[in-house]
Amino acid sequence: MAEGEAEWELCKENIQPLRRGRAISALHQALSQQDGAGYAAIQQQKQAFESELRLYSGDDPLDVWDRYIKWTQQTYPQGGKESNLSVLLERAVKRFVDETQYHNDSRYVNLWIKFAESSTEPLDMYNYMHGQGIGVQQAALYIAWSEELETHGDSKKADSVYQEGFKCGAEPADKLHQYHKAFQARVSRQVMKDMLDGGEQEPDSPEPAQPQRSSLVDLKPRGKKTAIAPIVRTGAAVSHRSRGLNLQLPTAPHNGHNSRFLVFDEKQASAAAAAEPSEPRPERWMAPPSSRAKENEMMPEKWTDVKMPQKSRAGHSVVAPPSKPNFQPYVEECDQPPVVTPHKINPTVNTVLSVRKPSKEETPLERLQEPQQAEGDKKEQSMYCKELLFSGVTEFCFEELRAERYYKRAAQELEEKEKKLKEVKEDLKRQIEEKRNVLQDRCPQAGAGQQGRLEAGESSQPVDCLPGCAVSRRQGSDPGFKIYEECEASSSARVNQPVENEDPRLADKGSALVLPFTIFDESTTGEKTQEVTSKAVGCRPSVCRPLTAVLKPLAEAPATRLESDGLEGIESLTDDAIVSSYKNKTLCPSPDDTCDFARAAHLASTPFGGSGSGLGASASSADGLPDLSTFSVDPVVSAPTPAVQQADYEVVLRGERLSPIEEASLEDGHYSVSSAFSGSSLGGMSGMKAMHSSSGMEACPPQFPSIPEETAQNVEKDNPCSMSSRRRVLSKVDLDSFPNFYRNVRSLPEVMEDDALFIGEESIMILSQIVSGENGVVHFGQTKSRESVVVKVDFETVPWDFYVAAQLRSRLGPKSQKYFGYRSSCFFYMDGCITLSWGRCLSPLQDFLERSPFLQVAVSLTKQLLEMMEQMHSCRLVHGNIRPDTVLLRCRESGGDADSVLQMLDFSSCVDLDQQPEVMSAGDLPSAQAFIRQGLLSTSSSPYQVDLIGIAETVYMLVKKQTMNVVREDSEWKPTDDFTGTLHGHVWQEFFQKILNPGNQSTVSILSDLQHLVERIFLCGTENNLMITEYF
Amino acid sequence: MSSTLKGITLKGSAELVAEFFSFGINSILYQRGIYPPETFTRVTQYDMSLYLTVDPNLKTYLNDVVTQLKGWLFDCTVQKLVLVITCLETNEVLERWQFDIECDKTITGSSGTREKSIKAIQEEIRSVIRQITATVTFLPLLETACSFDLLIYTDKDQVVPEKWEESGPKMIADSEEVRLRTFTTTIHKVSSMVAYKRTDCI
Repeated sequence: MAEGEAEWELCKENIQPLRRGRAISALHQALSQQDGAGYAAIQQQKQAFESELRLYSGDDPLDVWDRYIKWTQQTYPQGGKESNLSVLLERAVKRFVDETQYHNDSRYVNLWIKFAESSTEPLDMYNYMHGQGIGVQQAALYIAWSEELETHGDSKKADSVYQEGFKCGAEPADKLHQYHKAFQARVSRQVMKDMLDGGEQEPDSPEPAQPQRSSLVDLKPRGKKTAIAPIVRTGAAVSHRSRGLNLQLPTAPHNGHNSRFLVFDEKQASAAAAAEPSEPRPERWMAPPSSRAKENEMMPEKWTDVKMPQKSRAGHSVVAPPSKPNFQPYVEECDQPPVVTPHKINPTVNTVLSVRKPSKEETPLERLQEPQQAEGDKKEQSMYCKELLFSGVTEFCFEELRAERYYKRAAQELEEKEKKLKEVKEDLKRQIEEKRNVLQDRCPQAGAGQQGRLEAGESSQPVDCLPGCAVSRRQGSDPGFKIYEECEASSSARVNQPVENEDPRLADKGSALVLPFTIFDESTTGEKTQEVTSKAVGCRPSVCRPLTAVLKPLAEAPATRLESDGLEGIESLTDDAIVSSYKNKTLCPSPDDTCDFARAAHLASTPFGGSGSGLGASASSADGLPDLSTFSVDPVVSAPTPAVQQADYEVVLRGERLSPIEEASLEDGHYSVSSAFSGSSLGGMSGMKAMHSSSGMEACPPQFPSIPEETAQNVEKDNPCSMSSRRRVLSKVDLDSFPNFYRNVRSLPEVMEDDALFIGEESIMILSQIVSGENGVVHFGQTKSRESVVVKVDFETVPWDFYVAAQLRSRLGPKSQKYFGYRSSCFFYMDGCITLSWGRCLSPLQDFLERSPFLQVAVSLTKQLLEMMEQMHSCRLVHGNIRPDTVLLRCRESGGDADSVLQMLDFSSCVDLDQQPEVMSAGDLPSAQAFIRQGLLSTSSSPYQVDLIGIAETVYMLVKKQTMNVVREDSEWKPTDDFTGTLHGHVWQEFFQKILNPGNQSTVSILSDLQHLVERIFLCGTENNLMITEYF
Repeated sequence: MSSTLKGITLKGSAELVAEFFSFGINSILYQRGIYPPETFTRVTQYDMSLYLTVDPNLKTYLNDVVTQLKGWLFDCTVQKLVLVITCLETNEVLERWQFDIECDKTITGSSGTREKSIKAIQEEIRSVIRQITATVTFLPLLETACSFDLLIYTDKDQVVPEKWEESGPKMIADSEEVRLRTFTTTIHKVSSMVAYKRTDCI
């Protein structure tokens, strides 16, 4: 409340002080709205009250009035006409005058008192109240009454009122006592003062020593003809109207204090003064309550029939109104003789009174008392809701009433609606919860990819179930259509569901198969595939047969059956099939579509150049989409549909590949070429985005599990590290059975540094790149749960690293945790895979080398490297490429010795001798070729020895910080640098001698020997382990 | 006693503020009817007429308080002065006048003067007292006999003098509060506020 905001101070003259004070907030609101801004709000509120008055249906109508009046008081601080306060009060008072239940209700009594205070003759009011028994039990009545009397100077009467109050047992009694005491104190003080001031003066008739100037009194005009206001404003010049007299009274006690202002006496001034005699005439007002029955009139009737009591100069009172003789009527004030209590003015001077004209206005009390003359006749009866219209202060119109009722009803309806909606909401929520629970129960181990959105039916299918069964489970008379539909449904439900991917894909295939059927029918070829497929038309399971062939490896029983079909399918790739089917194909259905056109161009031209050469492993591929592989089975290209187009092209290309010219040469190496196909087709398709199709091709070789064996013999030795051979290996292994292997149908997501990767159920923040090559990228990452992972992104769909790591773990058992991590997962995409390996790694060894580690550190690392490779060799895995940048340094997480600081980063050159028995000597390994050329290895040496050399190079680098050069001396290989000068030089010499010349010893034993050797350095060293620990 | 010097010293400021309080308390006592009006006499101060009590006991009491207050003002250890009006019968706090005093502690004992004219300060005091008078617009009528208490908030380490005792804050529950004007002598700043019991009005 800053100094400028004291509006109440600025408007203090306009604010009627209330007995009980004002709430400052309401005051501010009221004052700030005087410029009309808040006028609407006030009106609204008023309207609300008014309507409440009319529509109230409760037990306590007084409450509405009470609140209304209180609100009005607060909202209209200056009172006045617009507040309708007086009207309100009058109405309220009249409304309940007959209801005895309210007679002693404090609210009602307060209303009366307020009413009385604002009227011109409060004493009459109080008398009437007393007579009516209104508030006789309330102390407030007596207090107000005697205060009024006190202001009139009639202390005796005031005291008697208090006594009356005590007699009646007014409540609250102690308040009455309190006020009585205060009153008595005041009176006695006054008496004392009077006695002190001037004994000769009668306390009851104080003549002021000097004529007091009365403030705010009316002036009696001088002069007979023209009214001239008197200059002297005291004495006779003052016309004593009601107010003036009243103001005179308080000055009586203050004789000697002329300078006293009257303004402060607001207590008395607030009560409108009455100049009328306040003669106690209690008997007058003691009308029997029964006579009041006729007063119960709410409707404002015209008071035209009311007769004014006759005035008489003599001042005698009592002119009974014509209708009701039972009580003394109200007498006009001007008829009254001067009051008992002394006035300053000589009451006999009546000139003042004569000026006053008989007032035609009726005081409220009069109105109250006057009988309702129309009451008796009952001639008129209002047939409309007169009461409702007029019961408030302002008159309502019918529409307003109707509007109120309407709003009420609307509000009610809205409430009901809300309630209903809430219920429905709750209901639905509950249902969702239930369903969720059901789903959870059904697929507890659905893997990371399961989403709750799955329909229950889909999720319940186990992974291994025959797709055929899956399809058959779906009812439908029309297999083709049904499958198609299912495809749609399942594809829509499909979100990162590696397990479920089969089903949608199956469905996809199914859909894709719909159309080819028609063409097969047309073709006259007798391929078994056609038979198969035509069979497929009629028989549902057979439709799926080729599909399963793709997915299930040899191990699956049902798959075997299907393989044969697959074989048939392959065999169907004859000239005829292709050539004949060509005729019916529209090469380019929509020439405007560039893709289409490009494809068609390929088709139209001679066999695509890029097909013949066998390509290496540099193929980007997608997952083997079974549907497309199926199309590779179908030589016939169907009319292209969007879903099928790529497959078409695929098939066509294949057909292209198998053009008559090349076919023969390829026939022998059919399947090896088929593996080369992967490369070739990819090469041919490199310009296209048909990843799908390429994968289809890729999938071809794995289809025929029995075949690779043969091909391995047929075809010249394949690069065991090539993608194809790896794929072969992988196909033998059921990747899906590895834990944490997730298949996706999407394409490889983008993995960027400082970005988040959402994969499976993990969200990983990719931190920094370790290595990047054309085949893949390796990053450091951090999962949501703050675990560090190494993220390897392969651009090929060969999760070789994952496979090797899994093999290591399974073959080594718990030992594997030391060097090969404790957890890894692989996410398989259509065009690549992402492998996550858990474990906090710092950097490749390469980077670490640049920091020139201490010798002890180098020794420790050597030892660990040796141990790691020993483990690997012991489970028949050749790493093939041990170099500083393929080994990662790791953070010790547990801090114990159990943890190592090395971890293998890259298994890309790894060869699994178990699964790849074709690798029999070092000569088979591509990474060994360099060593062979150097002479370190011979083509017939054991493949493990490649690793030994790799270790030797790495260790040399660690210790000497330069690459190793070897030289042959005495039929032994030695590093050029002799270690003669270095610490533990002889140990190193022995080390290198052993490692470079393994002879025919098993590498495992060599490695363990080397470990012991290196330990000797350890033991020689003083600080050994401790230092190493701290270093890391 | 207005200082004849141009600037305001600490001592002078303390005197001004104490004077204000003396008249202010008297005015409130008169306004609210704690003491009968006839026990007050009119004086002229700050270019307006104010009331001072002639009741000897009250006079002595108030003089003591004001002297004490002056000392504390000089020491800059006083923070608030509160006038609490309680109903005699029920011991309920009906009104609470609170004057917050902010002392500029950077001014030391007797050195340093501030530039502000006495007139301006008196003008400000006048407006404050006028506003106190105007609070009648919203303050509820004190119908019962009331008593008053003077509370002074000082620094924690202040020694409690002889005639004083420690007391609680005597707050009003569920009160309406109105902030009033402030005045400042550049050394002491006094802001006032009144809290009264919220009641249902008739």
